Amino acid sequence: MVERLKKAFGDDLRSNFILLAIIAVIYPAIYAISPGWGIVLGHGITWIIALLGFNLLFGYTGLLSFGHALFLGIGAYTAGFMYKYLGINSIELHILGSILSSAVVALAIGLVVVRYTRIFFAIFMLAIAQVFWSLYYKFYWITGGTDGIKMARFSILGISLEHLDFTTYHHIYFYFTTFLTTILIYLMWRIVNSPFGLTLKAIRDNEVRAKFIGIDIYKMRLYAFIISAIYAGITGALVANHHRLVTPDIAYWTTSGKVVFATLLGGTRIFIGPLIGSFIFHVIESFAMRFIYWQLIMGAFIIAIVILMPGGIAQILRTFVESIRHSGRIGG
Amino acid sequence: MEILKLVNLKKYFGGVRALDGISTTLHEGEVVTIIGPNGAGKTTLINTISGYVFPDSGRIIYMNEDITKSTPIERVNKGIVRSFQLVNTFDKLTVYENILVSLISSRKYQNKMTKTLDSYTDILEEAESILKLFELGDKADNLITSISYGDRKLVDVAISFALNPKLIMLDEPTSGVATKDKDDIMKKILEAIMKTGVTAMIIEHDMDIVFRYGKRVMVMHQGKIIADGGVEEIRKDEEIKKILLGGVYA
Amino acid sequence: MIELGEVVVRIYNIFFGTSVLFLIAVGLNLIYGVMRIVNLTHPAFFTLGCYTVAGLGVGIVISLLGTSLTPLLIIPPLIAALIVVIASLIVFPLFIYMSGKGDEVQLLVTYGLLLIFEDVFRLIWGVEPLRASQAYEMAGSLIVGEYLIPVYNIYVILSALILVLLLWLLLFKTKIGILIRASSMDIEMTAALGADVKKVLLVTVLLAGFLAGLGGGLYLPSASVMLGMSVELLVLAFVVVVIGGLGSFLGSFVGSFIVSVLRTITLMLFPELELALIYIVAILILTFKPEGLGGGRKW
Repeated sequence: MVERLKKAFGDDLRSNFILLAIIAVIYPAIYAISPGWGIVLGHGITWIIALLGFNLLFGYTGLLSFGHALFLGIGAYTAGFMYKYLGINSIELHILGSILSSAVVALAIGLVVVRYTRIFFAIFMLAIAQVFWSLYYKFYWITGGTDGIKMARFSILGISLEHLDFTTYHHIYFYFTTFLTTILIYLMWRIVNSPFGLTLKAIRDNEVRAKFIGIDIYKMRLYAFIISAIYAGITGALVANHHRLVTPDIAYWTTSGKVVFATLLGGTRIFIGPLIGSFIFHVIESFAMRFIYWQLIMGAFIIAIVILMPGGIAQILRTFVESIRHSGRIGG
Repeated sequence: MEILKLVNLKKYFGGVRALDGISTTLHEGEVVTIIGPNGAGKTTLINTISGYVFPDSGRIIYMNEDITKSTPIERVNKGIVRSFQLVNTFDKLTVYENILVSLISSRKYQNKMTKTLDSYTDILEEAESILKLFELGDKADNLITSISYGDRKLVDVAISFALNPKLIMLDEPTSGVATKDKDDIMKKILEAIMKTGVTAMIIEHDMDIVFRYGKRVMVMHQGKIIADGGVEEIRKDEEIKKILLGGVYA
Repeated sequence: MIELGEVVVRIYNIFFGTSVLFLIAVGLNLIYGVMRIVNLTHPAFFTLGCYTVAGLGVGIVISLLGTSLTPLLIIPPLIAALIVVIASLIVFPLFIYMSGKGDEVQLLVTYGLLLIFEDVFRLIWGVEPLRASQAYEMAGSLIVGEYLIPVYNIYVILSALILVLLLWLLLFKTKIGILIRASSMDIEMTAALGADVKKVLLVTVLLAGFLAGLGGGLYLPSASVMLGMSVELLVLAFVVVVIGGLGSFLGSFVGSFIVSVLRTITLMLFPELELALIYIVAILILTFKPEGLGGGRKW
């Protein structure tokens, strides 16, 4: 009975945790060889969270948002404002604050936008995100405009990290984020595999029938939207602390593009997709950044993925792993 | 006990009289087959009872309660469930998950997001018994799009069954199914109806199927019920045969 | 008390805005109408038109014909339209691929193209805003009370009117126009009747590109073009088609007009919230009249 719920590679927790563990183990070595690549891994681990949220919305609920940067911006500016106006530099409080603010904003916006799907949802989100982005510019006396908000090093568990050397400081950031990401992956996994999660997939596949078996599709979508926003908000707060700078760029439409691209690259509808996508994305990005026309590459990749490998890298890996398992079974 | 009573239902679409004074009564556990030529108003009747269409006049009484103005979802919650003429399933899910979704909705579990499905053994067990009821057990783990059309029809009906209905309405459950499979599908559906004791209203075009499996048969023509009785009685009526042949085969 | 001069200027700004938005929205609606694709790349074609005039067209005209007004009014927009038609031709195979695919695919592919175009602009023309206002300045201004009305913008409005007329003639009086309209009603039926549907699709995409390029070319001398403009225009053009109704020719006009009115009012009263207020109106319209104010009619 429960066997029917068994997960294929990538949808199970084990493959996710193994990948996380590998990253956590090799990180110090990579950092030791090249701090630059260590920081790239730091970006990777940070963005997984936002991508998980995006995948919940796109992969599992069928709502494609071109404005996910909205919530990254909310999270980042929440952390920035907490530091600038309240003098708070505790990363835990930043995260709590951004959870709260992104949930509130998502509730207000979600009540309207989840009534629309497809093109309308996608563009409404793009538009709303652009509105917020322009507000960060226009209210420069609050937000610091293009100069943004510079932040001090965060403190953790009430301990200041100001006196540490950068390497130790970054290690702390990395492992704190890994810890947080692990918990959030676990929570998201439960959400996706809960009755709620299956209901979302049903709404994605057939909104009409879902309605007619008695599901309140708007309410379900709203919940998914809020959860997704919270995940993005957390990444926003982490990015603010990682870069120690908050500028309107985090809320710009190209940031939304980055979220869309990285998730597609990893694979939507497969749980491990965001995890893989985040790392591969940041590796590609750090190569491509040397080449200034990065957006061009990203755009071309999006088109190529959609046409040639709609399941992303995770799907390719799954096919590979399943074929090994299968041949193993025949051999044994 | 009376489960459904229709009182003089009327529904006009422009000049077309889709329902022209329908009055009838269904008793608990009864299985009624509705036949009639295209455009007789059969689907409109189901649409009206399930709340997709509101009648111009007349009343729908369900378990002694007037539901003429209730919304489709309210009616689903009261136990009035329908299936559609075309297969209407959740296409990226497995057969098993399709049925689970329906059970989740029926038990109001859709808000539960902190525990994974394997801890809800009640619905898992029920899903197994529904699979068994429709003999879909061996196909349970297949994607719904990978099984035959006839089986998808069965899953569609199973989704409706999973809502634990008191009154189920099936709109041509064998339409689009290959002729050789029709018998099999209909037999499974009727067995499920018998076993669960649910009251059922089935629209069917295929006369062979109707005469083989039907008990009470209702004949509709131009928005009216022109005959209502046992299979034998209807089969012998020459007038009805003429109307049906004219409608179906002309 | 608002003076007469101000009223005239505002009204005239509304007409100018309507003309520009219409030239974008009508192409968006043409492609949606015929191919059922919401082409997120479309505003990038308008931007490409702007860049072409600023970075190429005006230069060519001045070096060949000197700085004289008439050629500057006419030739650069046509060069822009030509370049955009060529760009449309290049991406056309993707449109064939997308037609009939799910809207997820369409959204992602056209979004990818939008990213590519924005970076191509940067690659060719750099990050600084570009201007080419020779024609705008040479055309001079009319004085109304204390206000100036640029003559160039009147030229844009008149050009848009002429384009509307030509477009109408094309769609309603020529064979290809009738085929385009027929395809937008029922493309399979049109194919079944023996029409070369692929040709109809090609003409539609090129026509939409032509209008966007020409629009951008006409618009540029009165403003400047910069990176990110495609997205800003996308967001505005989308409101236009939502208000007017997706795929509606008349709706393109109604939507452009309403959005221009809204922009003029909000820019006067709450400049910071311009976009937000326009979107609130769009959402209200979508809620109460989902088929848009074009009355749900196709043409």
